[in-house]
Amino acid sequence: MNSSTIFLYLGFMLFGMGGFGVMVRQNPIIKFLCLELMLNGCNLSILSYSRVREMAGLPLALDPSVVTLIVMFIAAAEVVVGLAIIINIFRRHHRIDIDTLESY
Amino acid sequence: MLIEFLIAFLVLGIVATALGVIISRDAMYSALCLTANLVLLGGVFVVLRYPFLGLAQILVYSGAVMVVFLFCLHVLSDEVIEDNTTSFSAKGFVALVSTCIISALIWATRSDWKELLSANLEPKVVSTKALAEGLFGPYVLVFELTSVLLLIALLGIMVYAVPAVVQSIPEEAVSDEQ
Repeated sequence: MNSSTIFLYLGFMLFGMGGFGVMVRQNPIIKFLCLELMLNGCNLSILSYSRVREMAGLPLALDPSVVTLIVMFIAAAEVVVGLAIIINIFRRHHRIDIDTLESY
Repeated sequence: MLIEFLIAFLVLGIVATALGVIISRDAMYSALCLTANLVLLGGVFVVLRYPFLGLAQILVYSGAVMVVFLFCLHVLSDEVIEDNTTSFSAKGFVALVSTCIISALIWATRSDWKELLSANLEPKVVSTKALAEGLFGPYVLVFELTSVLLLIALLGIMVYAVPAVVQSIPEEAVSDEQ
C-alpha cells in the first residue's frame, strides 16, 4: 500500500469523524470546527485520489489542485458568515442553545 | 525510511488531533486541536507533492480561519465556550452511521485497486505555475465566481456586524410614512 492510498483512507476517516462531531456535539462553535474537519477530509481525499489515479496512469477529469483551492475559498467564506451569525445570535439573546434556537 | 516515519507521524497526529476536536469539552481546546490538525494536513499536502497547496493550507486555514475562530471564542462568554450538553442519547447510532459512511467511501473507491496498486510511477510535483495556468485557463469562470461569493460573504457580514443600521431602516421608513 503506497502513501497516497493511506492518505485517501485518512481523508475518509477525517470526513467520517467530522460528520460524527457535527451530529453529536451541541455547541455551535464545535459544530463549525467539525465542519472544517469534514471539508479538510474532502480536500485530502481529492488530492490523494488524484495521486492514486495519476500513479496508475489513469486520466483525471478535473485539475485537483484547482478544485482544492476553490473548496478552501468556499470554506473561508462559510466560516466567516457562520461565525457572524453565531455572534449576532449571542448578542441578541446572550446564550446559544442549538436545541432551543427555534424559540428565540 | 525517513519518509515512512514522517508519514506515520502525520497520520497518527492527524487522527489524534481530530479526536481531540471531537472529544474535548472546552471549545478553545477544540480550536487549538484543529489548528494542529490543519498544520499537519499542510504537511500531508507537501508529502503528496502539492507544495503550494500545503503552504496555502497553513496560511489560509491555520493563519486566517483559525484566528477568526479564536477571536469569536474570545468574544463569546465562557458559558458558551464550555459545552454543557455533550450527552447526546444516540451517540452509538451516530458512530455507526459515520462508520458506515467511511466504509461506503472505501468500498466505492475499491473498484480499480488492483491496477492502481500494481502501478507505481513517481508522482511529479505540481508547481505554482501549473496551478495558476489551471486557475486562469480552463477554470477562470469558477475562479471569478468564487470572488463574487467572497464579496457576497463580506456584504453579509457588514449587515450582521452593524445591527443598528439594519434595525433603523424600517423605523425610518415608518416615520417617513407618518
